[in-house]
Amino acid sequence: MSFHQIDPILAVPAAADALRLTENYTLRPILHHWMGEIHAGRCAARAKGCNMNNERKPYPRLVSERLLLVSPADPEFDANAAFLNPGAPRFIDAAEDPDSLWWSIATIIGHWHLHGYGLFAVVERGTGTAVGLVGPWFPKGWPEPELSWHLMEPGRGKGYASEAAQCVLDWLFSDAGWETIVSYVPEENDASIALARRVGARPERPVSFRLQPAPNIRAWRHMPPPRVSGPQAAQGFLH
Amino acid sequence: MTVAPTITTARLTLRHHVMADFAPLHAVLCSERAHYMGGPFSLKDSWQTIAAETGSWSLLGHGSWAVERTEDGALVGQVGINKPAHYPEAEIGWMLCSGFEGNGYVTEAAAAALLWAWTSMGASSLVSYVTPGNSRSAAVAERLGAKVDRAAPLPLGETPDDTIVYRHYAPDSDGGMEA
Repeated sequence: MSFHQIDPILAVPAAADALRLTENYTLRPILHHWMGEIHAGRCAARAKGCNMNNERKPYPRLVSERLLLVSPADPEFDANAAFLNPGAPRFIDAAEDPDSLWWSIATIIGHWHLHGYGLFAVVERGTGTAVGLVGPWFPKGWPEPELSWHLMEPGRGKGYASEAAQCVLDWLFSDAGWETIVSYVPEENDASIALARRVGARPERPVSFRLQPAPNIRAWRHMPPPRVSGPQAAQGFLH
Repeated sequence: MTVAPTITTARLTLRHHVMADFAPLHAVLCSERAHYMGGPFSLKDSWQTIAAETGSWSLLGHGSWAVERTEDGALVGQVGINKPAHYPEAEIGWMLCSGFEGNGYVTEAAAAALLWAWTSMGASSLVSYVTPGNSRSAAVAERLGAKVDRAAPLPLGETPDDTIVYRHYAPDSDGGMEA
């Protein structure tokens, strides 16, 4: 499998072992939590490690080879430090406008509160730095949920977007019970088209809906992998 | 604090937003009723406003509440304590759905949110930004005891022609009720 949730007891030491404690503040509460549990030899990640969202379900945390994916609404994740404080890597087109950046991050977190799922913060395990946001996105006006990806400058050119997207797809299809999701990709965005192909999406017709994010958009559809060769095949894309 | 605490008053329940709140609130935001809030809002802007004021609880420990009539669960509106990046300080604001006017619901909900701000959030004062001409909102601010504060900083890019600042004070910060 190319991901596992930080829930079963065995996943916790494995994940935390690979995570180095760094001076980075973003992940520190989560890391300390995991490390504390490990030292105490308890399996409390299941009992109390995952904080409850509004519907009293735990926020999922996913781990891939090089990345940790955590909900920015998770109380143990410091979204201000990761995305908003001075010095945090900037993302989205809102980079130079603190006001629209605040609204974007607050909206992304509110999406988790309202839907129970949303864009995960993509954290580089080696450094603890948040380098992007990847996950299902379903604002009002969208015809169906979209698998959306945003990588900030420090995270680009390393294959993180496809690693994170594959990790989220595996979780959606195997754990969360989703049957399909699309990505809306501008026809001229070669990098995103390559990424959609890399994670196994297939092109559909150009789409047009009132609030579509840009002109010349094509839907790329992600489907669960066939049962027989599923997770193994998916993992192949990670290397 | 990650979600809005549930607060009950004599007739109302203030609670964290759920998806079902969107349609009735968008009905207000996309109408002329939102004129003094910078509207009417598009679907996209309504979504961003409501989602962001919900997500604000995770980022800031305060944000907006849905206001329900306890008796029948009807959504009567919204009250919120918000501080988006272009506000110099936290603002308490309110919105009433069509058909619920004249009952004092806004004042009742906002008074409860103010009490929460003084006792749980630890605020010593909050502002309300009121557009000149919005006499209904000015009346609510005055009924809540707020005073016009001409020295207060304005939201970024706004002038006194755009915004009147009312200031609410915690009871003990003005030598009032608890003295």
